Amino acid sequence: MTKRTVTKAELLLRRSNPADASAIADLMTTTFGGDDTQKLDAAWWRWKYGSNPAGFQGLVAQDADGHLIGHFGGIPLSVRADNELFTFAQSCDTCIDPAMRRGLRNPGLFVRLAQAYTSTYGIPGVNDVMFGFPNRRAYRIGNRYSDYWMLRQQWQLVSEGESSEPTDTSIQIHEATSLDEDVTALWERLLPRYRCLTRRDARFLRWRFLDAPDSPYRITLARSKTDHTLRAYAVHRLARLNDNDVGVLVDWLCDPTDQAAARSLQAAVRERYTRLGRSMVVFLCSTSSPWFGAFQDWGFRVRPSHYVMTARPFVPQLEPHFLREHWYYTLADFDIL
Amino acid sequence: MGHFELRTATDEDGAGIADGFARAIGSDPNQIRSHVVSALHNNPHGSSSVVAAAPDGRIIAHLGVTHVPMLVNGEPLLFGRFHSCFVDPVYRTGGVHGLFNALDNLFREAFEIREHLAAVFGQWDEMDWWYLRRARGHDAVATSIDLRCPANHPVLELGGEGIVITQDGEGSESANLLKVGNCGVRHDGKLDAWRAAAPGRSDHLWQAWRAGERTGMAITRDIGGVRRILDWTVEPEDTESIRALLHALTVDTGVPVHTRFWTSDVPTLLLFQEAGFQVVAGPEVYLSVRPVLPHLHQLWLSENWHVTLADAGLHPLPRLTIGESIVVPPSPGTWGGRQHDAE
Repeated sequence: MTKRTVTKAELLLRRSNPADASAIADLMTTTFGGDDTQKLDAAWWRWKYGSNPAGFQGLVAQDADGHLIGHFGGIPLSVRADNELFTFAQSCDTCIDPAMRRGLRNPGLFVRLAQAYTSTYGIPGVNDVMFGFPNRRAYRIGNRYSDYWMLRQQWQLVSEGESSEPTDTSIQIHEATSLDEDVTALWERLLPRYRCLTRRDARFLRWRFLDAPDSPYRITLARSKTDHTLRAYAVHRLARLNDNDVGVLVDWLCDPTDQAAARSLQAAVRERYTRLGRSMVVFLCSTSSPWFGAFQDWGFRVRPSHYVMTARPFVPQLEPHFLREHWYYTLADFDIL
Repeated sequence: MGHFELRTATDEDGAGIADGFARAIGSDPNQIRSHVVSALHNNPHGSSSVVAAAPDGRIIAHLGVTHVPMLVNGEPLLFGRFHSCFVDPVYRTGGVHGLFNALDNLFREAFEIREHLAAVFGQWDEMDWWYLRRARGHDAVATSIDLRCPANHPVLELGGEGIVITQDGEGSESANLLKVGNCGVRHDGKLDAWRAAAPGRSDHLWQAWRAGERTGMAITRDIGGVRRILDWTVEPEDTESIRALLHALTVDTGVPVHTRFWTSDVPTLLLFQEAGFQVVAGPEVYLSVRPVLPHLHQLWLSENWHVTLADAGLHPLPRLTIGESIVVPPSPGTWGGRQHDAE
């Protein structure tokens, strides 16, 4: 690899735009060496950033020749907390051209991009909360230079084998290949049950799961047998996690008091992965969520994860104590799977 | 604020610290004295304290750190845990943090040197941790999780018959060092006996033995209809000892059993869950560290350091001991900040 040196005078930091799609994807591929599970190309950028119903954020760094040498992305989410709408933005896809990493003095381009990103987007009226699951290197640097706040050490729930819980006969479980407006109705109906929750309407879920290039996600729904009312949904997929091929429960929405639907739905998901020869199912959610206890009741066990949940609020209503206590998140709120 | 002198504490300051503490938080001086003597003076591994003294000799502020012997990758090191702190209300002009900062600065200069302490640590809530991180150089290692086992839950089956459990028995003080993982407290009998002798409490020391060799220990406190496991150390791979000790702690208690870990090894966590403990968020208290030795990085510690209530303390420190948050002003963009700004 040829080492390149860029001086400060030759460096331009600016907001990303759709014309950068291919260059950002190429930079990501160069930096991370490609990803077996997701092809990083212009279509990927157009889906992940260009099609997000809540918009996109991002900064790029380019050298004097116009080559992109750094990217810091943000995925905004529309979140309802105590009947107010807020914008939470996940920091992601942070990368620096490997040839550049040693070319700048400390703090390096990574830090300067991160600081510029926070200055640009971390202000009231733009982002109310910035959050993420940084990898260890990014956390180390972010903690030092960008005021990352540890919200919590993130735990994961892991099951092995089928559920011993009986399926409730009043519940109908079926797989879906589309998401209709009744998921929006479910989200609206459950808002009083969750004080801080991403807008999980059909538009968001279609973008997040169905529109993803080569979508690996499966959707399982739980309905009342009598009137077919949607009671709960689960989005899941096969993935490599914890050095194992496992089923991952990526998203989960259900009334916390609706034990019949919840029990039956988790049993169906586990049964599916057992059938596929993947007896381990992993679910990740906020520790304070009622589901953290419920899944343990159904045989899931708590294990450490590699993730540190970081979040930094920019409005007083969303102080860290509130976020720790009331923000229900799953992997649907993140881009890692 | 009147004049005062900042200095390191001496053995003769014990009574003055207790009296100042009592004035600051309005508690019984005798009770506080017994706590201070127990935690700082009686610790077999010692303690380090700094004080602010008024011209008349009264102690008007104190920051005390109790020493914790550690074994880190086989190397014996000494950590210091923030144990107690007070600032006399008369000297809080401009906020508690002014004098707290002065005490903490002196503490760093006097004691946070590699020949003395390898790191200092403590546990804090969201507000105080924010302040300590921004202003005092602390890095978060982990947030706590609570484990709770309901009363009369079926006990964990024993993994064999090779382990003998004793309670408050003979030979505690002479017990050998326990094996710990990559990073843990250097438990010997003397340390454990001191830890189990909290003033005004009837704590119990449990020990696991295999063929006369000590393989594990726990300290419990029965209070308010709950048994709390304050301390717990068993070699992670020794599932037979873990099972036997957990069995002894939970069998026939008739009350719920609770404990709190910050970080812990996977086998231990899984066996606690197998024994009927459910993991709950609890207050998710921050454990933070300010390392003196650079290799004691927060991220390494977050994966390797086994931390119990007895290691980190029963309560987040400043609110307990100062009686108010040391964060003045509170962090911007927070509810506390808004309340403060509105005042």
